[in-house]
Amino acid sequence: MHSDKDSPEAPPDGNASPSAGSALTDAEREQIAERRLLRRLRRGDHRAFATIVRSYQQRVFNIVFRLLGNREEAEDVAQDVFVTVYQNASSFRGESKFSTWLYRVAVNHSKNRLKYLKRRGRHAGRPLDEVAERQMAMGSGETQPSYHAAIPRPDDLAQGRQLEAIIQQEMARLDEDHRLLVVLRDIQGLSYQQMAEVTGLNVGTIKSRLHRARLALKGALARHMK
Amino acid sequence: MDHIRGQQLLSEYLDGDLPADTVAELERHIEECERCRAEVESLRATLTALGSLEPAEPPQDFLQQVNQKLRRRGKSTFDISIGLDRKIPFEAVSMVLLGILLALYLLLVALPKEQVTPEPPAAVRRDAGAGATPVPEHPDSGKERP
Repeated sequence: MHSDKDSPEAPPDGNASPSAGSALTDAEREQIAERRLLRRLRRGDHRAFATIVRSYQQRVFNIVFRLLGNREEAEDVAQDVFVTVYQNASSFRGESKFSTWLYRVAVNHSKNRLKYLKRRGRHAGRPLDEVAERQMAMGSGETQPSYHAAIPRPDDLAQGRQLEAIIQQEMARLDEDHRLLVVLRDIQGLSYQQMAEVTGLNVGTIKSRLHRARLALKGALARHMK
Repeated sequence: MDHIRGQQLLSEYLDGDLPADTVAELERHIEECERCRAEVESLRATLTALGSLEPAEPPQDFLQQVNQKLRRRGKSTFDISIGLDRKIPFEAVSMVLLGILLALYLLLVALPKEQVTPEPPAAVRRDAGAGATPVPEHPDSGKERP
């Protein structure tokens, strides 16, 4: 799992306050570095923006890709997320972690894109199905598609690829809200508290919905494993 | 603990999100309940499978793509670069330019009319002075004398 419980990288700008000393936790140091970056971003410092993009692009892209299932759409939406951050940095008041705000922006953009795709007659699940089909094709020895080129894999695990394809396929069939919770918790590794801040749901609702989503996914995966 | 309650808690149990006493109670139930045992194992396998997904990586030139999109949307296109990646927002530059233009206007157009008017010649001044303080007309002026 790509976990957000892990510390994100070295502090984004690589220099936590020296006066802070060792009494600060990693999370506090990260928050100080985030605030400093945001101050620079609000002043129009393009280098700070580049640091933010490099620090968070992987996590944002992973969330968006798992929600949309289509690499092309995910790239476009992930770009939009950072454009929004650039244009609205001044509206972030620092009441939550910067990453929480960023994930909220990513989730909102993804939901809007799913709605847009639905309006255009593309079923929300279809992109994921496409991914699944293409990954299945990969497993059967066809040319490796470009969208998958960046994901490293064990050599001997064509089965692993198929499993991933099946998971993607079944996630696409989940209700959109359920899929979001699975992505945030089981793929991205957010805490329940952070999930509540991102989704606006209370923790109790998140727990019960996530449980239902997991049961649905478990049933679907079990059918494939038989 | 009854079976239904046990089933409801399995997710939180696997997340390690239950208090110790509830965990102990649930584990006692799981030992006795074959269905819950099977359920917890298959849920655990599902979470392991989800956790095994490799993170999807953005393209190598992702930052460039974001910058291109920013330029296309006209946000940073007009930002003025003053050094290594340091930019002044377009709005600030506009305000300064407007200030300079206003100052130039005042200096070149508005002020000269009021303050830099050349001294008029003395004769003109006399005429002007006469015009300014006209000699009052005699009450009979304009009338024919008998």
